Amino acid sequence: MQSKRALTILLMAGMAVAAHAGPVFQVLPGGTVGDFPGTTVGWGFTITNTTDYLVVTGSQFSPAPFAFFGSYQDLIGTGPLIVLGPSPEPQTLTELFNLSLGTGVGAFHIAATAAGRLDGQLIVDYALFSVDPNDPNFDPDTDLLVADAQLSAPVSVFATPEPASLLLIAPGLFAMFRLRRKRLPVRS
Amino acid sequence: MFCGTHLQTHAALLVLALTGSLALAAPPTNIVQHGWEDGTLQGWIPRGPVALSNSTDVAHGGSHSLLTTGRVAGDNGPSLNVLGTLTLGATYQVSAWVRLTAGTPATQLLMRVERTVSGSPITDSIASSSATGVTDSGWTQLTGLYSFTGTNPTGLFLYIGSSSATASYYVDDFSIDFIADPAGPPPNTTGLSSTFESGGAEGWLPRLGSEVLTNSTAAFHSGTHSLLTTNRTTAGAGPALDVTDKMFNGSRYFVSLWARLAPGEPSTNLIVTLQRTAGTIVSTSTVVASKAVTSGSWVKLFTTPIYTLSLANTSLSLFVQSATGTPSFYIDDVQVTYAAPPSVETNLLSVKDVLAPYFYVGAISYGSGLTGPSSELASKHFNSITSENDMKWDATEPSEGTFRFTNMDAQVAWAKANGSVVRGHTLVWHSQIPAWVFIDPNTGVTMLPSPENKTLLLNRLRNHIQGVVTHFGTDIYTYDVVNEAIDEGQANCLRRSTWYTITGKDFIDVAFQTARQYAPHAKLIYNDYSSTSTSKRTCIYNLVADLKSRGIPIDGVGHQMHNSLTSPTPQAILDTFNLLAPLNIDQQVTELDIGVGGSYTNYNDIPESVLARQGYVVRNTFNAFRQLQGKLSTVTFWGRSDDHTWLTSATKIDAPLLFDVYMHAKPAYWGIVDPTRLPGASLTGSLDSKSGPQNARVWTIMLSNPGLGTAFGAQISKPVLTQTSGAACTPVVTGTFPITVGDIVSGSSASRAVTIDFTGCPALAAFKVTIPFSSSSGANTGEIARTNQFR
Repeated sequence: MQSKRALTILLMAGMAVAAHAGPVFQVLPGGTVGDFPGTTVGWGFTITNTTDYLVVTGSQFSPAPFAFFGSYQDLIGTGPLIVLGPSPEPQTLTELFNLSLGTGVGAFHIAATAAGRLDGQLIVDYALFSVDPNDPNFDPDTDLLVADAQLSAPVSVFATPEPASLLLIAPGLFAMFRLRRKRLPVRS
Repeated sequence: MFCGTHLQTHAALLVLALTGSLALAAPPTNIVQHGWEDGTLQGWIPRGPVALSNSTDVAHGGSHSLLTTGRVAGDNGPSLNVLGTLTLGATYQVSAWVRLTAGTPATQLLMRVERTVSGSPITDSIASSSATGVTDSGWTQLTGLYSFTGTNPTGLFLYIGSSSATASYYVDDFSIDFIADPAGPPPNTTGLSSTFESGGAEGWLPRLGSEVLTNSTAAFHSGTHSLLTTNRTTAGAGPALDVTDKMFNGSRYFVSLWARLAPGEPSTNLIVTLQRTAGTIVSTSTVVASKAVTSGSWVKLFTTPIYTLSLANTSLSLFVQSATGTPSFYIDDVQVTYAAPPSVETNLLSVKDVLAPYFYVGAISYGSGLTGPSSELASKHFNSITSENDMKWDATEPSEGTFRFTNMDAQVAWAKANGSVVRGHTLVWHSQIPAWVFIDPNTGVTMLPSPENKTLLLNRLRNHIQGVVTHFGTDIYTYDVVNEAIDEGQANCLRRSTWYTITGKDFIDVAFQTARQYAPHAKLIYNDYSSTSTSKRTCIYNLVADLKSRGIPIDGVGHQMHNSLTSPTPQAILDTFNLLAPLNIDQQVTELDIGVGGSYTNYNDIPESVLARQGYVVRNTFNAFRQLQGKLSTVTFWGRSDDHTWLTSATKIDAPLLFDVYMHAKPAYWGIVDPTRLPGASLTGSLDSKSGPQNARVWTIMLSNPGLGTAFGAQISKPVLTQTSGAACTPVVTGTFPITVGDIVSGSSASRAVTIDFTGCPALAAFKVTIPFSSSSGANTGEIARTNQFR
């Protein structure tokens, strides 16, 4: 009983440490996205920061994708200034990916020549300040704590076969099925 | 499969006499000796309806010999079963003395082996006399080296036949001597080095005996000494070193030395040669080809890039000779370095599989086909082959109407067995074409323009194309029908070749028309180099457009792409393909290599940084190729691994391919298969800190290399700031750019400070900043891109 209590305290202490360890980044709805070549996919996010003031300074897909597979567009760093931290700023912000609204971390345009899958890291760049940048007393020269830091999450982009390719595959599968059906009586 | 020679005794002894100054070879081991002195046949049996008898009519040694009579065919004769006597891969010297019976006209005798493998007989030649080399008046020795490889035979019969079907002859003093075991791992890999700094000859001796070898301080490549050879009496005279215990059959070596002629000697070509002694047989093999040397400076003679020793022997010596003349010369800094055997890395991803969604990936084939590790490498990574030289006109129709396809057939057979397609290269070219094609039969010299010669030449062209493409049928899916007919320096873009001089542009029309007529299934390609240059590609566009407009059957354009580390750019590649795409043609990359340039004389001297840069260039090139999906159907490398490339010559060694001389993956391979494994591919940048006053704000930029390999020659370019909020102002970045950071090894980082004058900028002015950085001479690029940056 005593050891159980001790373990619980340790776990709570660990959670407390984790809560103050730094910002937390989560990709929404998940890291793996995919679509037909020529289309655009993307990621939403939840970022939580409880201490100091986190200013988002951009995002990137790493390693940078090659043109034959696609291109990445930063959304989170090009929209309105995002500051997360103690009051009066929010500690958590959640945004779903929406290309037309320009929300989310970023968009990935899957090139028409893409094939297969690309694995990488979705990185959110940020700076950390001791004073809220929206505070009239903010001084970027003296209040800067961390000039450049990163949050990251593993992501994958799949280029799924073109609908036209699927249309070609379907008759093939059907033909194989017919062939198999025809052979069955012979085998029996 | 086998090696044979037919040195006559006299010649062999003569050469042995010439080599008297070298260390004597270890004596070979005799395993069969037949003199027929016991009156029996000593196990010899008839081959064909012949009669064998032990004879005392004549004898070479003793008083008996073996007599063969009653022959009715060339391969009839005395035969000896040597199955179990000879071992797979081992080398033997086989000798016999032969003499015709009295009254038999002089003829040729041949010593052969019939080897049965998988139920089929294979005939190996060991030795033969000259056409009338055997007479009834004296004894002639047949002697040669023999070895067999591949599958162990089920039958192995040595026999002595004749080009005369009926000649009768005596055989005496037959012997088989064991020369060497099958080639295997070398007993040592130490190689050798002779710098002559010891003051002596360091084991070098006169090859022929008359030469004078002197340790000299009058000239030297490094240190203060060299070896001077004087009193040379023939071109073959020179300094020689016994390398029997340094260089081994079946192993590979880098060999190099520096040479310089003695003062006053006229420029002469020198050659580095190996002299092999096997039993009583002596032969030579060129290690470093003939290269001009003068008295004015030191010249490096080197293997290009590697020498494969394929000489079973009882002793070996390395020597330096001249191609002509007998000049005195110095040598210095002799190096023989062992090179590990090639081995295919079976755990690698296959290049052809990685690129399967995009195009075929090809390599070249040459000679009698692909075997051993070369076959393994080609089969694993490539699904298309193009013969380097064996389908060119001089190879396929060396004389009019006589077609020769031995090598090509072997290569096509390999392709079929390995699931590879075959490109045909090339049907019409101004180079590598036999002289007879352009000979005017009336004058016996090169044709001059005339209607008759035009008709004749076009007929020769038709016959050639018909002969070639008909032979291969559907085994070849695409042909480079016309090669390099364009000269962008000409007003009409056509090269002034003999083809053009005699036929105008008709040879192009006829070539495509004939190819279509006899190979209707095949894609017909116009192939050329430098196709990404603006002027050349315009010429190609115009040529193809013209052909198509006149109904000439052309299906595509081949881009040779003998590229360098700097050209063409990926954008030039994209622009070229996109320019030609509206012609509704297929496009192929037919001869890709990416030379590293420089003037390297040793493969191992090519710096890692250069190979890394090449890896990035390959990455960027294939990024462009993949963007051309649907417009580009095949990419063929002009080679397979760096041990065989046309870019390596007597003056420099290049490394333009995906695999090195050991057939191991280079960064160039990873540039295609997994660019994240390129040296320094993970190089990233960040803003480490900001400090200082507003008018001299110091931003510290950090480049980090957390990944594999060194990021070579990293640089930071000038930051660009774009204001996004706050009262307008103009920050000024001071200093000189790009900033050299240098090599950043794996797991480390380096920082550089950039000073920016934010005078006039309010505290809350925000900027978007972009800071480009690079490594590998700009082939690997990245940038630090951040928004919401305060000063």
